[in-house]
Amino acid sequence: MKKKTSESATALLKCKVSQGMFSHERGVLVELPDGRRISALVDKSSVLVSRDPRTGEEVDGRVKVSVLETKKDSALIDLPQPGLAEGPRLRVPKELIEKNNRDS
Amino acid sequence: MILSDREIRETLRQKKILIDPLPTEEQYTTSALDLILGDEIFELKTPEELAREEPRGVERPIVVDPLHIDLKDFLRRYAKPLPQEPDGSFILQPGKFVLGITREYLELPRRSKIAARVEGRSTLARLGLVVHLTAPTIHAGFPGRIVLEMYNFGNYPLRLTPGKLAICQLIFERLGRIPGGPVRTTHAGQRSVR
Repeated sequence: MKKKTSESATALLKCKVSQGMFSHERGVLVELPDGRRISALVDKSSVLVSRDPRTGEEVDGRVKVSVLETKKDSALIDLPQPGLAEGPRLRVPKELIEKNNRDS
Repeated sequence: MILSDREIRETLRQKKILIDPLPTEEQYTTSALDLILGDEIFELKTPEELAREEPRGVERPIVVDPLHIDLKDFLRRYAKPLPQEPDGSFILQPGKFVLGITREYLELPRRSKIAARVEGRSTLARLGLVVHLTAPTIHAGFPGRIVLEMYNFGNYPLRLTPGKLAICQLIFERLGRIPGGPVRTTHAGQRSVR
């Protein structure tokens, strides 16, 4: 039996971005169709926003994720950091995922 | 397998991992790397402090629910910077819990097959300082500065000087395989030998 493993691809996950605690941090909020809201604190290098959020504000953004597996309608991804109440691994709808063309 | 100082240096030289700023030679021990305290420390407001900020006549118990927390509002209202001394240092009082960061920014790409563990330093531990409460693992794929959960179990206030104090050590470990990613087999779905 041959087995191949491939390194996971990176992609961008749509989210809301707010300030974190430390200046290098950002808060990300991922809202899933089942009503769950996943909050995580990540390094600012892991998020893409058109402008930095102000104190108390959320802006639309993208967080860089690793894609482990894709199915017809969903993808299993790793956030750069665990969520506050869950681990980093999430199954998300495919419509929340974009290709990451920005990293080398 | 734990990486030795020479292996850590080699891994950096080959750009398999990234540490910025690059460690000085004094930061290395035989099988670990000391990291330096960063310039931000935060504390969470006490219930008494919060109660003082409430209008008269308002009383509430505070329960934090990690499942439903609004991060941006929570951090804005309940976290505050620890005051800095004129020389830029911080004073950590006995019995106080704060959140700090390392000066160093770290990247452990998955393809490097390297993870790490944050540990305290025994010399600081003797003074009562712990720098992580749980979750010492820096997983493969991590990018960022390391946040430290610091508590002073000792009897005396401790002066913590950013940019100078070696606050923790990082132990690097090699993974057996690159993590994540689908497993493909030529016999997927097979129900019999043929």
